[in-house]
Amino acid sequence: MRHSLPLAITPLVACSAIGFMAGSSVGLAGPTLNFGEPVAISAADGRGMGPDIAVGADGVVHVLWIDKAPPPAEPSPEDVAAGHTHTATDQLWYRRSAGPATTGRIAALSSPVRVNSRDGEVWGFAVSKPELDLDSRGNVHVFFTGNDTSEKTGKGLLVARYTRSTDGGASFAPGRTLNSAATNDLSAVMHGGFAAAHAFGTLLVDGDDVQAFWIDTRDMTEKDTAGAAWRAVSRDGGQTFGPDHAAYADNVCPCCQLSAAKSGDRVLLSSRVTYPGGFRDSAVGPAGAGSEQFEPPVRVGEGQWKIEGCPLKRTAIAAADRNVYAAAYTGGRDPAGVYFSRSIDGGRTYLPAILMHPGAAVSDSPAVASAPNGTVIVAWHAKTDGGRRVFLRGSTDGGASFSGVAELPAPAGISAYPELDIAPDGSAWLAWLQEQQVYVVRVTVSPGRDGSVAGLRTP
Amino acid sequence: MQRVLAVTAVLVALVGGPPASAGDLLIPTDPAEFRAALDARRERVVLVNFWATWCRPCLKELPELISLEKKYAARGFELLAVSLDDPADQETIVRPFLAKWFPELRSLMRRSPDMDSMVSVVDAAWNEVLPTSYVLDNSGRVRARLQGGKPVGEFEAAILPLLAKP
Repeated sequence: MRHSLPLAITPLVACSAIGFMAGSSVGLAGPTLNFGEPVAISAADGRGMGPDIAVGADGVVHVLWIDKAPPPAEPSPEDVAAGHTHTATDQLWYRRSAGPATTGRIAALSSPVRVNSRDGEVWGFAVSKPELDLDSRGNVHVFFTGNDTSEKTGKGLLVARYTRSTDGGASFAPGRTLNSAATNDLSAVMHGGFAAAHAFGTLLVDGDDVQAFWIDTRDMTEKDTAGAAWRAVSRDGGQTFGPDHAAYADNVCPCCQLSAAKSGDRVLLSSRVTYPGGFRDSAVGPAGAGSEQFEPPVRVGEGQWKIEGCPLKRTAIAAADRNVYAAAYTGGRDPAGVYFSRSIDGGRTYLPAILMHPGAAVSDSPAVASAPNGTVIVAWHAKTDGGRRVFLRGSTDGGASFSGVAELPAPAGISAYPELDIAPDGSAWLAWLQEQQVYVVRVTVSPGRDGSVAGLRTP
Repeated sequence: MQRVLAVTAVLVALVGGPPASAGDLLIPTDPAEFRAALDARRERVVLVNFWATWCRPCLKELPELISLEKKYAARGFELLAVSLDDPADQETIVRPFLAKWFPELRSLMRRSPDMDSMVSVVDAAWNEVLPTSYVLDNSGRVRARLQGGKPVGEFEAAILPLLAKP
């Protein structure tokens, strides 16, 4: 068994009171980021990637990730026939803390549980990752992109898959496909000869509502390669789903993973949209409670990034009450990098974006989390004087101002692809990829000593 | 010793040598070997093109880049393609893909799990977007970065000033 981490885990480093790395504007009176003990989640001899993290109402930390093991020397004839030759080694794994994690240290973890029920089912990588969310009963809901074969053409498909655990993560139901069958055939132009893709999705759980979103290529043609955001909704906690339908179809970048959040009674779905002139900028589409249709997505952050390529760049969003927070990379501004925008009217308009990591050679792959008490934490990976490392900024006033840039006290080597979620106590849990291993750590942000804030003030 | 052999194999495969066989189309390469392959190309103008089978704009521009190499090879120009596909897909996707669609193209392919480690050899501040190409002059210095599917004229405009006169 590849996943053989002991239940009793060994903390690596005890860290707190991180020093700031930003420029002179960072003052000691500003918010302070504090870190717990980084904990390895995936196996040291595996090849982890694409982690996601969620913290339950009970404070339990849940982690999901892909393990992409080396391929077999020869694919089996059965796999070849099923079109799964290239993905047979991707597995989806899950672990949780053994109890509420309310301090900077996780005392014990569950054993890893394989989420996918059959080999070859999972398709994913660092920027097309599986997502998980929780409901108030402790059920674990998972969206992932899966492999399938078209009954009509016999060609490979990427499908929107869902599974859940109703026993606290001890086991997962067999995955089910949420998208209806597409009739077009893009196998001549799509990676791996896939006839259609229903991929790069996300998940939002609220009460008994489970909403799954993905980017759909069913209306894509050789000349018009835009995707559309599609949705399937369950009103009974994931037991059944209604028919899928387009959430919005406005020139969605087909390779930029979606992100979803809830602001009051409005659901927000972020994507990248290709605007006139070829600008592929962040956009967030809102929908009212129970609404089948999203309003036209609102352009966020004035990215002005003209790119005819594969950005593979998600726009991360989070919301608390009427505040909506978005963070995304843009190559259209000088300097390029991760920019942060916020809305104070439920996502109808966004204030001008701010650069999160001035001075970095490059910054990318942001994640954002927020709490009703005004805590906002943004994480990303960046290069300053070496390989990629994870950096963060924290706010205690709803994103109006931020701490300086703090480097995650991760082990030596490459740390990248952070993910965040907020715990009920207002702390955040961060998952990231450390070389080829998934780690987590607790992060808290506290206000400045005199109650003021320093560092970065947003418009 | 194995490393020396591997580097030698890369250099032989990419610096002249016997005609490519199907097995030579794709050359798994780590960052050090990639660096060595670039060093072996000093005195030439090199277009390093990072591509992947899943990147449609990459596949659209590759035929034109191959034509560009043919057009200017005599003036010291060379295309050095580098696939950033996942190493796990090497034999099952990338090699058959090359043989089917680009039988004239010999390409390096990353052996390391991290895409950025390969691109960092020429650009420490790569923003993880494909396609990305770099024009290196005959001293190995990066003179231009072209990102996203670009018209071939933009590549031509970037390399022509660096080439030997006809």
